[in-house]
Amino acid sequence: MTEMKKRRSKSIAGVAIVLVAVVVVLALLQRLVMPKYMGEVKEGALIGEYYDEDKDFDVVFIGDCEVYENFVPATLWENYGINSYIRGSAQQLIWQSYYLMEETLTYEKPDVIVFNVLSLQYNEPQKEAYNRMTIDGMRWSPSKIKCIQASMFESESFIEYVFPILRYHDRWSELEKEDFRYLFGAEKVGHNGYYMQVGVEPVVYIPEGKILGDYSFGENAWSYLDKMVALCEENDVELVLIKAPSLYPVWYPEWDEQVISYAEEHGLKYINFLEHTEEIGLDFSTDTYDAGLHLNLYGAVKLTDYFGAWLIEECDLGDRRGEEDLTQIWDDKLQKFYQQKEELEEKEQ
Amino acid sequence: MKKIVLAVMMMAMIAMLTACTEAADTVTDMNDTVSDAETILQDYKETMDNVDEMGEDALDGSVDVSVQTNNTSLDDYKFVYNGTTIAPDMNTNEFMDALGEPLQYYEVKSCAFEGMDKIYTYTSFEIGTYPNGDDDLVSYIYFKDDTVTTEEGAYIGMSKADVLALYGDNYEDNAGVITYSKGGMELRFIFSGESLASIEYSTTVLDET
Repeated sequence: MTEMKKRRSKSIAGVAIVLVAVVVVLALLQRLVMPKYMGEVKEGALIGEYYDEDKDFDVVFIGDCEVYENFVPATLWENYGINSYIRGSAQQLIWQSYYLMEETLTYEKPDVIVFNVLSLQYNEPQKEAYNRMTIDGMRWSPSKIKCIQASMFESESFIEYVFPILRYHDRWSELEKEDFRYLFGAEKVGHNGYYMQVGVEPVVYIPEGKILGDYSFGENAWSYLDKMVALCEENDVELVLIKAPSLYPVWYPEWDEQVISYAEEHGLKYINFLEHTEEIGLDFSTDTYDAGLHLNLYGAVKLTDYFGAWLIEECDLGDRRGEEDLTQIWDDKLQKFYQQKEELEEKEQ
Repeated sequence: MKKIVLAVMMMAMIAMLTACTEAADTVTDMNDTVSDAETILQDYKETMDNVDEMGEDALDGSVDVSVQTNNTSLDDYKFVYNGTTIAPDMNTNEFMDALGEPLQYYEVKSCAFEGMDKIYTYTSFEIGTYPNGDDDLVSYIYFKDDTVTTEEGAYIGMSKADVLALYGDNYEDNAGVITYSKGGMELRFIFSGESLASIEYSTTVLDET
């Protein structure tokens, strides 16, 4: 009887070991084949970096590349003592912004959430690769599940998001050094979500916008802006709408009018920075690294300084530079920020 | 003991399922490959039939022969400018020299992907491209004024009735855009009232569903 018990225990232990081994191997394989976003394309790593932060931000930016390339939290801290973070990702669609906002509010209640309105132009998913750059970095939560459901193409399946190995298994033949090097953790890409660029490529020409059949934003896009407004009200957070001063893609006057009307109707503040480029002091011959699509660090610092003054005045934010713990955190962050600035500038020369 | 057997059976099932999925994937890949090959052969046959036909016509002296070496089928909508044919998904190498220097050129760096979309602006039209390996393929051709026409004769300012008479009723009308589709491309018309305001040839290769 005892012998049988022993044998049974051994068998159970054996099965358990095999099971654990299978799970570990699969998990490792999954990590190996998933994109690391540590090579030429780093932007996909931004969303996941938020979770390592002490989440006590006064201002959280949410939106596409027009937030993570144009606003500098380090400047908001240095010049105004505003503690901010950017939850931005490439071509972040409005429903993704909404679910990121929902998720953020489970961690913290900032005073202000800033949303860039460019993504109102999209009423449906655009590219799976962009969806992945937002969604794969999110931690599992009800918000992530809803975000996946709202973003998936018909050709995709939910299980591929749960087990990304099912989606990425064919990357095995194109694995690169970075896939092995960053198997157990990636380098930090953003500075509180800001993605630094120091190159200069002046604006010489901006293509005209094409004529559109209908300039109205889609119902789906509007519905998520409605949800954002409701969510911010519920959480006593001020929602500020912005349009960053990127010159391309074209921001049509017909689009701007719709946002102005919406903001008025809902008592929201809206700034279209394209109309303030002179006051901000932007010089598109020196302040952009890609001919007007995004600002470089020098332009982004100017824009952020202008916005910081606006935030202090309009949103009644206080200066937190007297808080010792927070100041220590920022001292460390600023050191890394200026170190990278120096390194990138050296590379540019 | 039953539980152990059950666990072992489950593991075996998982292993089999994994194997099955891989096998199914392999079969699907093979089917896709065969299907691709069939499509290519069919396209090739159709192209050769067209070329034969055109060759006969040329021998008769009834038409000019222009040989296309791009991804565009001879039946697709295409824009002909000063004898140069341009169509969605064509390699820019095939027509850029003939078109000459554009008035303006703009590179649209993707927010997060390698490669550049490019925009070449000429006096009367604009050509957008997307990267494909080392090549740039046409993503769209957009008319800027009424001095250029489609191969079928549509131009900016033409009446809606005349456009529909040229292209027929087989179109999709979505958010003010009338779209005719052929192969992997679309020809889109936007009207301002009854007058044609915008003409655009566009690839559908980049669309995801």
